[in-house]
Amino acid sequence: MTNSEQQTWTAVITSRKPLFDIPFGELWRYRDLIVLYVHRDLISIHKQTILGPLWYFIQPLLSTVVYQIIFGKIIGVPTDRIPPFLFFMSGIVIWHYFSACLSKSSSTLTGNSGLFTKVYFPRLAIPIAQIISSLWQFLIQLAIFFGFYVYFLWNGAPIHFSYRIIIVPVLIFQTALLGLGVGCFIAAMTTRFRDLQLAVAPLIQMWMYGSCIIFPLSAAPPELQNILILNPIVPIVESFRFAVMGQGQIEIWQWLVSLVVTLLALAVGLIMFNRAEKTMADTI
Amino acid sequence: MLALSVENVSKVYRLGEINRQQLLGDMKRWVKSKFNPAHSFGDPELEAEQEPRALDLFHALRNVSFEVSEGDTIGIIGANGAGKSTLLKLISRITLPSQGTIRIRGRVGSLLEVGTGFQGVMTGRDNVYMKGVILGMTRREIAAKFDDIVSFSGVEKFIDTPVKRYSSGMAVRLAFSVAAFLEPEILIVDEVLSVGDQQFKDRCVAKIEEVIKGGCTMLFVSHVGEMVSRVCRRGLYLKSGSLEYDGDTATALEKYEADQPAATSPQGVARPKQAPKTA
Repeated sequence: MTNSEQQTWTAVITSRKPLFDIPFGELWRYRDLIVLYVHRDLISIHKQTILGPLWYFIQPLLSTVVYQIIFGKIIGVPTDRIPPFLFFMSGIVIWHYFSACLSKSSSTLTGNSGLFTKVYFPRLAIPIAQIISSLWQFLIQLAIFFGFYVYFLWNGAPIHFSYRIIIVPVLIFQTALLGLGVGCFIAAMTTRFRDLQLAVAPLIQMWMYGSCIIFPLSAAPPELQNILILNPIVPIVESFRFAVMGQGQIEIWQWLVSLVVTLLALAVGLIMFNRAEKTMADTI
Repeated sequence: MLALSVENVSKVYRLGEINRQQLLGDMKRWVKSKFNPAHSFGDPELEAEQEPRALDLFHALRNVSFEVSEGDTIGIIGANGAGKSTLLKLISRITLPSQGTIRIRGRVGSLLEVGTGFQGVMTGRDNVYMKGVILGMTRREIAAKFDDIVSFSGVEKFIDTPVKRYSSGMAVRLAFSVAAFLEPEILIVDEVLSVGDQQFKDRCVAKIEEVIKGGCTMLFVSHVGEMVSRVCRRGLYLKSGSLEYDGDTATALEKYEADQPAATSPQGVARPKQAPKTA
């Protein structure tokens, strides 16, 4: 087969599965699929609910109040001089987005098996659409958070607004990539081992306790802090609090560590997902 | 110009359940393939070496090779479990071959089991768009063909009603219509003509003939010999995963018919034991 001959084929299918073979070009060609999936998610999520989009408000506020009472008032967790309400809410909102990305991506391959065994398209389009549609809910919750933030700032709480807030979009993007990476990894494994599907919910729960959602990094003993920053969510949440409220204790190198871990997780997740999607029709 | 080339393609399935031991096997295989790059996943030689019980492997396709020129219509004939669906799955990229190479020019559209990709809560209109993009069309393309799709399906009145309120026939007709207007370079049709009433079936056949006239390459699977000989110029006869005959449709059908009575007694007994999940 000479080179010029080969180029005229649109697709060459072999048994080979190159290690890093993410179909970016194909994803771009199927971008309308992503757009429509996001659209469908946004309109169908509140069909036949009474309160509809009000759930966006209720869920984080309820958790924040409960956490503030249990961890703030009863247990007395320190909050780095940040008003406890803002401290808990910032963590909850970010965590909620991360866990949504993770759990939705992780069920892509098993949840759509009926479709995936009938028609080909780049499977990665589905988790990507899901992190985008989850973003909508997250942004609404973030707006609510900033509403309270302005209120607290106005009333002279010990928080400061600064230029550092420009890092927030980067942190959000990092959160989405991390959730996508870990979720894709789990999705790939669940095509063969369904146990993992049952493990996702408890895993997310456990992960939250080690993610500085309910306590600040500074409250952990120093030797534990070095372990905690290996969890990429910790620097994300702490950087967010520091960037927005000017309080807390996070070093730039700690965030860089989390960035490296995030990219590693994303690479591993995408590679595994890509391998699994090609033969999932046989194993699922 | 070739539209499709299938070269020495085999597909091997492992029989039995995926279980705990397989995790260990996978790891061993992976380590081995890293140290010995000649070996890879799905390589039947390696699989045979790992699992010496040859009975555990099922060859859905063995060394199948053929080429299809642009505009050809091919009928694929064979008994249940002969590998027809596996071949179509490989060409539509739903799974990978264990060996061999498939080369494709242009977009592949498959009318495999219509009715997939519909969301009950969404209206017929939204579902047409959804199904269209899943099949690989762009929103603009769908918008241009939208009226034709809807009038072909005959559900104009209900297009803004959620699909969950459709009768099953209406949903299937709408789904088929989207696929029929995909205008791919290669069209794969698998037993879809069992949908809808007689009137709709006739319309489908007419549409398929129109598509063929338009120069579309087509692979056609049907148990109805009459349909195959009416539509296809060339027939491929698959028998137990091997390509038994490749030539004009009439001869292929004759060979298939001739094998039928002889095949029922020895194969009919062995079949259910051998191929539980690959059919």
